Amino acid sequence: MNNMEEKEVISLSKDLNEPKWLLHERLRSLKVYSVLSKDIGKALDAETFGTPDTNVSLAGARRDSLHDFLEDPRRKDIAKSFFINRFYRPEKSIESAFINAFFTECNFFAPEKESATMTLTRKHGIAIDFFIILARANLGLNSDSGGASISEYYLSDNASLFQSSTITGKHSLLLEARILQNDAQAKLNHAFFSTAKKTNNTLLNGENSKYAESLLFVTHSHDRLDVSSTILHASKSTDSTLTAKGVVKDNAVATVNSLARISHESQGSKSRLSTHAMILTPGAKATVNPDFEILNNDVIASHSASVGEINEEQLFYLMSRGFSRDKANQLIIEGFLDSALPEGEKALRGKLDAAISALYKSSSLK
Amino acid sequence: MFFNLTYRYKPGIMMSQRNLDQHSFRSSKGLDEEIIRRISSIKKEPEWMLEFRLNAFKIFNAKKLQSWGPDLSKINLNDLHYYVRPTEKKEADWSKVPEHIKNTFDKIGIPEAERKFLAGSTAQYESEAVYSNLKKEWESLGVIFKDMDSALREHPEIVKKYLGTLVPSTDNKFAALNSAVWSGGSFVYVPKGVEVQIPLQTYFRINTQNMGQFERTLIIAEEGSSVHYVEGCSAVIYSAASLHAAVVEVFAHKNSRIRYTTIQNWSNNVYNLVTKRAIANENAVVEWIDGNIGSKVSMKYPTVILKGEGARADVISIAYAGKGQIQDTGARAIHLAPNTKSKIISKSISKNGGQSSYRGSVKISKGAVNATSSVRCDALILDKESRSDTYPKIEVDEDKVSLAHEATVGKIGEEQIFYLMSRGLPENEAISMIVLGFVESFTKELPMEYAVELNRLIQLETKEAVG
Repeated sequence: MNNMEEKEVISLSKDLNEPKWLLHERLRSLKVYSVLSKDIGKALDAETFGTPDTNVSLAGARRDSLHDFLEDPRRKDIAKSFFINRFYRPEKSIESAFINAFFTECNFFAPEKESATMTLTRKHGIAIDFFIILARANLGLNSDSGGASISEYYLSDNASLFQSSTITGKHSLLLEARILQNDAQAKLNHAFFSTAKKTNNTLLNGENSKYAESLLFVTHSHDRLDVSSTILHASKSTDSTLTAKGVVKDNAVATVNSLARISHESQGSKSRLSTHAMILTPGAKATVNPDFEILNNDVIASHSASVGEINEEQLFYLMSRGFSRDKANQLIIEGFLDSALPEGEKALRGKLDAAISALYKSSSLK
Repeated sequence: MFFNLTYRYKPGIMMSQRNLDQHSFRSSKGLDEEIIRRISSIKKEPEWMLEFRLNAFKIFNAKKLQSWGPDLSKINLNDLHYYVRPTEKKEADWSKVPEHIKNTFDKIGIPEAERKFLAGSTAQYESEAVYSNLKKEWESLGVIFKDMDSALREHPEIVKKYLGTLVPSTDNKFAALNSAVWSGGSFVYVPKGVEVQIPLQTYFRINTQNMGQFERTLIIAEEGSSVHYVEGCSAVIYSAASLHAAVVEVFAHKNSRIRYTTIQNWSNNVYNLVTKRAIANENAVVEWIDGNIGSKVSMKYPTVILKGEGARADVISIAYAGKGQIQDTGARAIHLAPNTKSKIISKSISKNGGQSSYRGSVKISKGAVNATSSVRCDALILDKESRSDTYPKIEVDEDKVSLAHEATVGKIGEEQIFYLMSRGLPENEAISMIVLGFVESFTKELPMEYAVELNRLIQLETKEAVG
């Protein structure tokens, strides 16, 4: 273990006035991180992520920091047990170990009413956020993310979560977990516009729980996108859908991995994975892996994937109607990405259109 | 060939100990440099081949087992015989084939008369071909179809030019093992412009307990030629795990066409780890038709490297995973040149706790302008104990391409069974009929006698234990 890093973690913990067990957790994470970074041969630098610039607006929901909870004698044990039993423990991955060692902010968010909405903006910093949605509660979440963070969403029976999220921070490292109990429902619409690495883990733990993810990406210049989504069906009659669509331009490289695993216990489950990428210029690259692991036969599962260029016939048609080549390309891309956006998703649509027109301002296609 | 399939598939075709001991040379268990030198000297191989083997053996020792896919740690590599030779002298004529070997063929159901129907077959009994017969007109055209050992003796310059160039010993641990201890396999050379009309066929068998079979196959089609090569495998059932680690290298030169058909039906104790790779030059067509029915664990991903402009690859495969079986199969297409096309169709059936996986990969490299690829893999899971996985990987490095992948996994529709049963079919026959329909895109590509055989096999497998 690097001595500098150890001192850094100790002083960070001291500054935040953390209890001993939390410092111990951090040092343990740092140890795992050092071992993994040696094995993998790559290291992350806490400084690149900067200090947290979290901005939250809440309607019908509350925010507490781990610090607040730990000072409250009635709740400190609950907070501790929650933290200790989190999904992203350091052993999960090198990124998880890194965030667990160096996080400077830890929040608990929870709806206080049956229906709550919140907006979360964070471009920098290293943070851990927990979202606790109790039975029958409903949370609508708009976020614009960057920096490095772990976000965990716990949905009790009949709870629902609707998320609309853009990832615009320069370098983002995001780890998300969703754990759904009976009849819970989570929808995630997220769009990527720059270099980012995101890992989604969804656990359909309760019967009739349902997960739908729409993933969009518009990447160009030297963007590197690495997204993976793992959906584990662990109970009966669970349902998952993943639709990923995106474009790569210039020297951008995008990798989208998805895996749905339907366990032996989850009879009557359904899963659909589809991943489609468009390569706009020579030099860009896309890799997609829609994987399935299916361990029982009462299942409906299908997946599709495609990678291709802009259809010449469509382009010709639009240009024959008087559109310039750039405008025609833009319209085709809009149509392509639009089909992956669910009805009623307004927040992302505007940002997506802006990102597509920005593609053509930077340089012409051909 | 008109042999009885049920025989091939039933356990218990045991040979007497006397029969087993008639091998004229069998290496002791395990592997060291001495055994490799011994194999090479018994075969009277040239010096470069011994070096090739020894070099591969070093690589084999250095390589780790692959970290993905099925667990191979149960293979005890020290408990295998690496070389077994059935008779000292190779038999060219059926009447001179030793009686105990004929017995085995009879039990498996290949009649003596088969020769009349299928001239040109090389049957591999254990590690070496015991008889080979090549049609005279092909010989006059310059087609070479022999076992690899003879080819090395008689055409060393061709073997040296191609061997190990497509699947180097460094490719994977089992390719290295094969390179070190290979024995037997087929060698096919088709000269420029020659079209071979009748498929060339071979049988492979394992007959000695704990004996690994490491055949090495090389197929070369010169410019404008075409050939269809067919192999079928079967094995007698024994209790100890056996290993089959083959390497197949296929070279399709400009405008040539090669079709390689395999029906693999190893007994359920065999680890079947095969590296199959083809290279297709300008406008060449390579087709892998691959059926995996037997074995304990199969790992096989036929690959085509589309190197020349306009080259085409077709891979059609089926996998059947029954009780205790893992079929980890798939296909790979690597597009390196413009206007190349690949098409992959994969069908798998899992039953009685069997596990089948499609593990495929399509890579389109920079410069492979207008490459197109389509992948379709469908899986049928017949009961709730069984498992089916799909791991397609698509990597694209070029913008002017079109690539599509589709897959479905599911069980047989209740309404399909209901429909057939309402027409008077019992449930098990209805299921078997649906499964046959499911694999039809594969069977229709097979030579007629293989299609008949495969259909019977599937009927047999799906009818029992259902209903």
